[in-house]
Amino acid sequence: MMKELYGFELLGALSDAFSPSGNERVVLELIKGQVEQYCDEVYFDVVGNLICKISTPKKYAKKTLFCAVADECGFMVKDIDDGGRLSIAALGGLDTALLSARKVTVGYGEKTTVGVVSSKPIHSLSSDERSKPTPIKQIYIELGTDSKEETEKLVKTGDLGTFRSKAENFGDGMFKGKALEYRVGCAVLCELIRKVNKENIDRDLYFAFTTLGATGMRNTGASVAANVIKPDNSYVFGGLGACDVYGAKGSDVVCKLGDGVIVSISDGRTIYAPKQTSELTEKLASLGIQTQPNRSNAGGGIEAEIQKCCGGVRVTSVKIPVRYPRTASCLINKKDYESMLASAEACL
Amino acid sequence: MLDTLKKFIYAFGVSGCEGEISSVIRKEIAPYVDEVYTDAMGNLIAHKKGADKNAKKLMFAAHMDEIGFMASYIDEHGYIRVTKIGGINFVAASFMTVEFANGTKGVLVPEARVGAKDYRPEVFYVDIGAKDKAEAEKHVKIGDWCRVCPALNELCGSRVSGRPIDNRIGCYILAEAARTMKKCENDTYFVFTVQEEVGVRGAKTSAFSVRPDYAVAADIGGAGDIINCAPFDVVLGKGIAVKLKDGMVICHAKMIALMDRLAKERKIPVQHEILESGGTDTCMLQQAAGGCIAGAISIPTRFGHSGVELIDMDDVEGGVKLLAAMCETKLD
Repeated sequence: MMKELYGFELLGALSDAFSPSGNERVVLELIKGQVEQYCDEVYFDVVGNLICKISTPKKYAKKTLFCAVADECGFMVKDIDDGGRLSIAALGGLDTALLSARKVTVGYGEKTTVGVVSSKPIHSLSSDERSKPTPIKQIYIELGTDSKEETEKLVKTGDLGTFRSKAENFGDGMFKGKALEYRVGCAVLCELIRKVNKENIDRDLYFAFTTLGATGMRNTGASVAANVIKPDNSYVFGGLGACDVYGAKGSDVVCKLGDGVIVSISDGRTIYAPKQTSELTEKLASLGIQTQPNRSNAGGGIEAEIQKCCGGVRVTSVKIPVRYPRTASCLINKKDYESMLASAEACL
Repeated sequence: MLDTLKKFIYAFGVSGCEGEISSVIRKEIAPYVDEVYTDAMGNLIAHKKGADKNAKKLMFAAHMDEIGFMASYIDEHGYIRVTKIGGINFVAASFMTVEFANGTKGVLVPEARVGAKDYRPEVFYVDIGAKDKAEAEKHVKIGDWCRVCPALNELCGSRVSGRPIDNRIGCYILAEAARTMKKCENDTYFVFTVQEEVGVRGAKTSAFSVRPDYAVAADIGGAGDIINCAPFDVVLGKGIAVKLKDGMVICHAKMIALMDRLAKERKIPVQHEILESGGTDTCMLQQAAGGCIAGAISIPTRFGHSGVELIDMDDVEGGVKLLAAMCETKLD
């Protein structure tokens, strides 16, 4: 049996898992091992979502869906050249400027290899090239091989990749790792599943760890999960990009590390269920859990699809600030994360 | 007849905060239907049972939300930055009196030395007259909804102007049709949808749960009789407009033919509307669940999304008669 992980050990393991969009199975198998024994039903649906269900003994019970995105930004191998180097295409919201000279993981499933992203040395760059990032078509990845045959033993076209970075404690009360804007939600749901006391629930609880959430606006995984489960209400957990740096002021800050969880009233794509959302905010305040407003009204995630599925779903989002999202080094404040854990329990 | 419309116009209902307008409409329509309920997203659904159990399902939809703002940041002087909810025309909204859902009044103004051609959402703020942040926070908190103050003025003849005529006039037409219809041949749903102005969200879920055979949206349209506008074959006073297409939907030919036929039989003047861009609830009614025969009526409107939206109540009366005629006609 898999060793049960808790707290930041669990979050770190999930963060390290290699799961760019399309390769979610790796992180989902890890999650499955952690929570399986606490659930009545655990299965992968047609689009690869991991669905965990805890049933109430009550008949004709309502359904609550807890949801978190499982995948992360990455890239796909498009071609292998005669020298054994890979050219790539970005998957979802990957800023390719961030790839330059990075160590990356490339592969599919559990079969992976280490790669290094090319970069032209600064003294060879023309002044024009210096002022803007290298376009993805000119980026290639080295695997330390020097022929197509050798590379093909390690990867094939269509394989996926993302940053290679190890999650760790960071500075004073912070935590660093890749994909944290998604995996904080997954980790919180794992811990929540373990805390459910079946005697005390009067609703069927579904926990969906969804696929294809980092690939832009489609959010295929969450959309399918919600349409199949048809929940009465839903809570979504994850990270919200914090711009509390580089001199941002006022509403540009969005949210601040260390100021607590964010229960948004609205964002660019969703206006959250007013009653359910304000009730949760009040409950968190009464429990002494620190919250902060979402100062921006832009962006949006899987909540938009969940809300509009079937005849509509009451949806509320619980996020924590993540600095440098979609990079190899996302930063979170450990206190915020603990507040989110406590908030999740308050949703039960 | 402006009394009911006035009640609808003055009720608060910015997208996502439709509670007040919803309860006003519910009170108005409840006596004329069999049941009224609210769904998960907040859509208000009024159901009047059909003549027999084989009756087709007919759904009317009018969005009850209006465009507005939301408080996003309060600075040390007590000035409130707002984010826009829906398609705000900032030239029209500038220097207008605004109100928050709790009744707090303020004025929406651009920063000094910013001319109209540089109007962007970021340069606007609301001054509620507070001395400082602490006083402002007593009245407004981040996330509070806000709108340009409502108005309804009678102009020459049968014309009125104000806001939010978009789309309380559509709600009024539905409520009046429910009140005045002489019999209910079809299983009829009067649906007042939420969050149309931020991306046609409520229509999708309400049509999914109602699953109508026929669906008709009622919303404001354009008017081709204002100075220097693009050529557009709909004018005020010549009747309610039957939508042929807009930027997001092509209406079902059967629906268009049905409306034209009923209009002719009952001598209701109609025009045909072809909107180049934009869309209404109609597109989602057509596509929800397994899809349905969908169409729309548009109230010819000048100056949409401003504080002085202008319509002709004679056109509105035609809309009420046309929807009532649909209720009274057995659909197959």
